[in-house]
Amino acid sequence: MLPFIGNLSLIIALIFAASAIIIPLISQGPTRFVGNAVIGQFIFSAGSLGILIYGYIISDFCISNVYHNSHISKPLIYKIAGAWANHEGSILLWVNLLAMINIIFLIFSKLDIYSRMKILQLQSLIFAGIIGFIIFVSNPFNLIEPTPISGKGLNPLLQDIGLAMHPPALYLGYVCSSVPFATFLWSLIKKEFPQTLAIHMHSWILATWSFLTIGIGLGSSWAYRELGWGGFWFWDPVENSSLMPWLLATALVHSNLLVIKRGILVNWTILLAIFTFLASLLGTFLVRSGILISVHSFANDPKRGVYILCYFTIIAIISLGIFALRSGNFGTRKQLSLLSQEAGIFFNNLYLFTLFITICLGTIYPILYQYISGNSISVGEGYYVKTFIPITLGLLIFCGFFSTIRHKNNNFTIKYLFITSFSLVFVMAISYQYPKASIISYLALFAGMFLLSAMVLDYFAKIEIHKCDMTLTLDKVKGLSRSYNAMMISHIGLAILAIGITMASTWDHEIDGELKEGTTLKLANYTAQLKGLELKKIHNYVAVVADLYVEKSGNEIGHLKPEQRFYNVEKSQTSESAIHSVFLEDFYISMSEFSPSNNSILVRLFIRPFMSLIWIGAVILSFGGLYSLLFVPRRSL
Amino acid sequence: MKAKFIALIPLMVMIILALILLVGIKLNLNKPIFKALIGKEVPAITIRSIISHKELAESINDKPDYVLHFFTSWCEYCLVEHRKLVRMAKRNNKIPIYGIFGRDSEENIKLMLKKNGNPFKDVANDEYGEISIDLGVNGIPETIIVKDNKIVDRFKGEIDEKALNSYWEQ
Repeated sequence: MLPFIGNLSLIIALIFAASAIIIPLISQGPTRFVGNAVIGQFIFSAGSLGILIYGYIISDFCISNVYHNSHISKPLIYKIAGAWANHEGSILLWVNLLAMINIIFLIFSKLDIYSRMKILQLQSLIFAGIIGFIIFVSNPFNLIEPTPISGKGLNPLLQDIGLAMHPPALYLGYVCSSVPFATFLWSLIKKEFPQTLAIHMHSWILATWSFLTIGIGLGSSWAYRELGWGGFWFWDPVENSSLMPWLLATALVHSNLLVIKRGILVNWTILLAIFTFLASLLGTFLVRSGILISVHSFANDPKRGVYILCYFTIIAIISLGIFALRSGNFGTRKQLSLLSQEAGIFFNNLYLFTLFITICLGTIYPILYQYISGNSISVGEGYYVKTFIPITLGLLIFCGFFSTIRHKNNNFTIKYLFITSFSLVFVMAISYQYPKASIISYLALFAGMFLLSAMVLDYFAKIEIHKCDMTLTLDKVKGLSRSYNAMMISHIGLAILAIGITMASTWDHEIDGELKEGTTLKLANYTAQLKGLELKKIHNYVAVVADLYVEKSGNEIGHLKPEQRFYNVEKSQTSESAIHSVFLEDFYISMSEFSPSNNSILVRLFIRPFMSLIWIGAVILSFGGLYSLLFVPRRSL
Repeated sequence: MKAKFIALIPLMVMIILALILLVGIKLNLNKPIFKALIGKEVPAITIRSIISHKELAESINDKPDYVLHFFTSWCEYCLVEHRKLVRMAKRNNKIPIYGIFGRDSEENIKLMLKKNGNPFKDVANDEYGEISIDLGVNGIPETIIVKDNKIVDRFKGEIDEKALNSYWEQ
């Protein structure tokens, strides 16, 4: 019964979408119809997701999707999250989020009713394509006969709270990018690009960027905590495919500012918005189509690949076709001063787009090659280290330079000399404490510090801290524009993130060893002693918990308890690492094996200096985006 | 006019890409992707062994039938497959299995072999991923069966023990 209602609900949603596309084309009738159809799309797609989740909660194993990804003994939260931890369910979540933001757009957009309806018509086209995909090739309500008594369970690696949150956040970013996409396309069709359009779209662009940042951050913190290899980024094609829209969205946030402030780069901004959405589609599908094999993907079905490819191609050709026909009509040509923030935004776009192309080549080329020749190749970390990192260093320095540049400033040279020398001193101090690293690491530290000190110095100059007058400084702080604050927060976040990534990936060290009760293992000035092993039974797994007493240079740090979990249903095991994290470094223990015969465990100890900076940086970065989204009044841009 | 032409470029690139992909998929639709490279000759594996300290090609030494197993010490599923290989090697020591690892340290691998047994004739470090790239290995564990210096079968993830054995019984 449940699957039938679920399917019915999907079909009704598709009918609503189709009518929202077709009816305005054939009749000049009531334009408000599209709005109602969008509400219908939302209600019925939400209905089907609700039914799928309900199927998971009551463990209705006649639904094949539930059978393959759930089990009665799973905790409730992972039953619910299990609904989108698989291919079919995750696409259903995607389409639900799309329907949700369409409603938000319908209600809160300040555009005129006619434009709103036209934009929602385009949005319905996107919606219809994906709902069709769900119904015809990726149906979560497929039945299984005879009904099994019990399910196969969820991949234990995915049973984690960070991962339950990761897809919704990332997907929210993806679907938000469809609004500027559709709106800018509409402006191309209408041959009108009023300045206000860019201002309206800025919130959506910021939402796209912020949610993508949060989503990527959650994903990589999951990888760090859960995968047990001590790293946080693997240059896995799946990770890269989320980085592509992020890079484009970052470029878009900046170039849209130029459109708002100066009325230039309009065509480029429209193209970026198109690319951002296309990259978001690609990101969703690369991960979920089974084209890529990694922890993320589950299915490998050529029918799906073909549907996805056709859908993507249709959307891409429609949008780029409209762009080719209509662009070039907007915007003005203005001479930019080379030493201005506007020029900086231009360079920012150049850099970010180059980064996008770099990643795109590394990710798409092997797939393309595989499809054409039937052979497979892979591109490793080495490629990205050689291409992505050097470009990023340039980006950081340019960012520090251009975002603090002032028109009326005559002590220009002194300011940047000071920042440069300060950063050099910082790098030298670090190299004294942490010697033995490649030149690129020191360069990266320099670039990160250059950005950080440029931003902080600029802030200090703005609030006139050198006058040592508390009341004056406080007044100045209150007087700063919120858009300036948002820029400051995000750029500082970026700098901290860059420094953190460099430190954590350059000066990490690790050791492996076997431990029996009472024996110890040493890494640098840490010692870990195994106090005992404990067997714990928790509803859906059995865990061996190691109790390790850790000391640093003779001072007690405490007990760290890594676990090895055995999931009975899924017939697999995972290791839960234990992390002692202080500001200066993370000490990380993961237990790779437990042998019951001689009561010993195999452990790996890691030290990752300044790992916390990565998370702090990512949080500040996302906060900057959200702050700008929520608190910067759009008219003051 | 020039601006119009530039605006056409993204569309052109997209259409060309789509055509390539569609034609490619059509040609390869019946060929499961993971069976790619079958029939291809294995290039000389010039990476150094961590056990015999020779180049792996030298260690293979003109015996054209062997198994290549790609693994690391930190991957859980590799460990499961590793135990399987140990069992298989005990039962049938005629199959020469060569291990190749990457993104891992020699110490970890030696520890892993010491702890779980060593089913390999030799083990080499694919430090820069060249061999993985040459042979199209994009995930671990992966096992490649070579006969007459040509790839005849490959398993991504779980090894099909029966299929593997059948190559040595023929």
